[in-house]
Amino acid sequence: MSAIFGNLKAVEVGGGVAAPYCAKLFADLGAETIKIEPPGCGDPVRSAGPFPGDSPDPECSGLFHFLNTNKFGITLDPSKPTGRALLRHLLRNADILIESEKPGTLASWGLPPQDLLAENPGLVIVSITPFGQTGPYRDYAATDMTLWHFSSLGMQTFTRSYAYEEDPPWSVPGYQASFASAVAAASAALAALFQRHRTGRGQHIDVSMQEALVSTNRSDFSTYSIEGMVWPRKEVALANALTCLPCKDGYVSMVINEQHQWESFLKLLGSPEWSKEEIFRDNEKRRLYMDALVPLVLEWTMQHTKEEIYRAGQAQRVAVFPVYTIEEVTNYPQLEAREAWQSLSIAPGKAYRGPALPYRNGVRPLSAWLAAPRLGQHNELVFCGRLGVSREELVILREGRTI
Amino acid sequence: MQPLVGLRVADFSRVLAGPYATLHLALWGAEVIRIESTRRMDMSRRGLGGRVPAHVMGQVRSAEGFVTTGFVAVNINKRSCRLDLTKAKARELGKQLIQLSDVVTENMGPGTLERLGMGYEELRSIKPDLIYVSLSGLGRTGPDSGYIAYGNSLQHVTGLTSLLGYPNGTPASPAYWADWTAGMNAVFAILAAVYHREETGEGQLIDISMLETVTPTLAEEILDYSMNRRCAQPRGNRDPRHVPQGVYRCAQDTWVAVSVTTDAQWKALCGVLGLQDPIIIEADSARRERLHDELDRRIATWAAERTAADAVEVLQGAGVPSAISYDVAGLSQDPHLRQRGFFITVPFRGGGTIEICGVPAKFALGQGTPEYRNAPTLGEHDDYVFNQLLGLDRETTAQLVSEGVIY
Repeated sequence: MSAIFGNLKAVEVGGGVAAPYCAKLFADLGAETIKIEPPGCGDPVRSAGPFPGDSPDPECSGLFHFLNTNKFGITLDPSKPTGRALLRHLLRNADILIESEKPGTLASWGLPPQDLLAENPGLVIVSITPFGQTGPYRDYAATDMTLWHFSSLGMQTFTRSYAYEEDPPWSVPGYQASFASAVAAASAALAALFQRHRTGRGQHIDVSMQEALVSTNRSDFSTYSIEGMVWPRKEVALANALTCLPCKDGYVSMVINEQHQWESFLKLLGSPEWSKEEIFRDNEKRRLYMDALVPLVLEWTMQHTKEEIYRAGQAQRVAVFPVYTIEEVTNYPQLEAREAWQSLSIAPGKAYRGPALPYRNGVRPLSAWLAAPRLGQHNELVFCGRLGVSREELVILREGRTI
Repeated sequence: MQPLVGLRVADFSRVLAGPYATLHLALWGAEVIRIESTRRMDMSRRGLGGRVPAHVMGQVRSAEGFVTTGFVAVNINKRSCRLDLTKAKARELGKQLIQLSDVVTENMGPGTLERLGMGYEELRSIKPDLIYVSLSGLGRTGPDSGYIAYGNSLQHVTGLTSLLGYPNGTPASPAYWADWTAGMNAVFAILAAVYHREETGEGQLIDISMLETVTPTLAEEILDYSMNRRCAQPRGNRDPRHVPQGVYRCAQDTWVAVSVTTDAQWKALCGVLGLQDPIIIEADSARRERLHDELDRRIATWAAERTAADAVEVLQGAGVPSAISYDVAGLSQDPHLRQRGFFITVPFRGGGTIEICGVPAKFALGQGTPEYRNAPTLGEHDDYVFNQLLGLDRETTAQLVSEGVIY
């Protein structure tokens, strides 16, 4: 299967995780993707790491390499007149612009979306920001962590051992808001391209990272809209009391909704005497008496490793899973069999295993035929080769910090 | 006009991951037809959230006494027809519908549709350019592909939950997270396949595992292990790069999240807190990390004197990343989401309305006013699908109903 987006041209501006990951989804499927970084220090993720041997090097940041496979990298400052002209020129022939600058930045560069669309009516512009292009929080400062809370997911993240009155709502580390909004943005861009096939016209798409997360709390939100009721965190925890049960060497989680699954589970435990008690007879009763049930289950789990419980449980058709650590995930045979890993050339002569994109068969990503670009690596190729800038001018642009 | 007008999806998927994907398609204008049955009813109709009585939904049949709000939240703007796929005639009708569709979506477990003669290989022989999207917990291939994998249990095998909670504490868990990530990623995969088909006329099978839609979000941790054999551990609400960071109790049982990412933001926060000690104000990230417990106490003291909403107003005024840690009531009252029109009001036939979260992505140009229809009752569109689309006459469909084919 050849590269699906081989005839698409994408341009990415903004750095971080969201815009680059969105662009990666196109780059890894063959789109010609030009990544624009600020001259000087480039994309801030270059300093995020992780680094081999913890030795910081802007060309060896693991996260940067993962996010920026298969892209051409240029440096450009569009706030400078020549920079603006070069970006405008680049966008005239692009299909997709993915940008995550603060709202209003494109306009401040003299490149408001409506002008870009006037010059290139088929252009699809997708803007990804914490709170979108409009609204009272438009200019609010945010991180992925604060967005997790602003979207109500902090209150949705539960643990079975809540000290309800004491514990704060949980955060999730890393970049879930950025990844979720990046995927939403890429999907929306494709929807716009589908429409463009019929109408010839492009689009400006406004993606809010907050909304990308709020969207996943839709069930409880709709329940609230009818019943005016918020499910207390304690209740959420109780309903998930078989989540993250300690075992001999870590934790396991199980979901047992149906009676036949419960019976299979009991077989696993060797049909203990206590299982015949009336209070454990059905789902309803077990929920009521969860405080009595859990210690009994723990008697068994504490005697077995997560791997034993996982394999024996699944053999009995119980939906049980181990809480794998990052180390265990990296060694998980199922992921190996699924070809879920990609080799990233991060340092000279050194490649490291990172995650591959999640589609299989037809929509198959290319392997990383281009490692993530060094800062300004393709300046000459793009500015001179594509945009007709002479080598002398390139030097002047560099000295003037336009590139 | 919405972007995906003209695309038709035969949706065999149930519960969360698949329906969340097809919700996006429906809201963007695609015609999504759920193929369901009374025999094996989608459990989310009955078991996800509060109950909406049948007379309010405006139900047509008696099989459903009620529908749950979680179902409505994921299935507005879709249609529903009934087919008992255990019957050969039903499978035949299903195939006829698929021939008129662009995309088939399913999450019935690897092998299920194949056993019914409706797997990809079979279907592509009657419709070569079909796009067939198969969602499962662990994928259709690999040694564990036959495992029982619901999203809220398998998310733990992704490594994500090992990063959550307090150090040495019980792992925390974001409910159904793997379902949502699978749904989001499926939208992209479906539309990428549609793009490919527009260019080449080729269809394809897409095999998405929920597991693999979570692991890319852990790239940083996975690479740190690959490079440095460091296995990331939970850190509570802290982050070594953003210091201080935490979630602090405010007045009236509210909580504020604060995340300082630069020295400038730290100085601004010091101003808000009224901290005067120059050593603390000038403290760099490493020093602040050593003082984290003390800084948490200072922030907590300040936070306790005001509501989270007031705290955020002040903090944002000073340029400090911060958030109210909302519950769904807070979301509903959020002025920003309201002004952006993120919540969709959908009427019930029997009176009253329900609010649904939209999907992220606002298309600025040429959308017109989208029309919103409530989630379909079971088989609500039998007439549309069998009589209009497939061209059966009413006697035939009545016969099929009595035979339990349309059931």
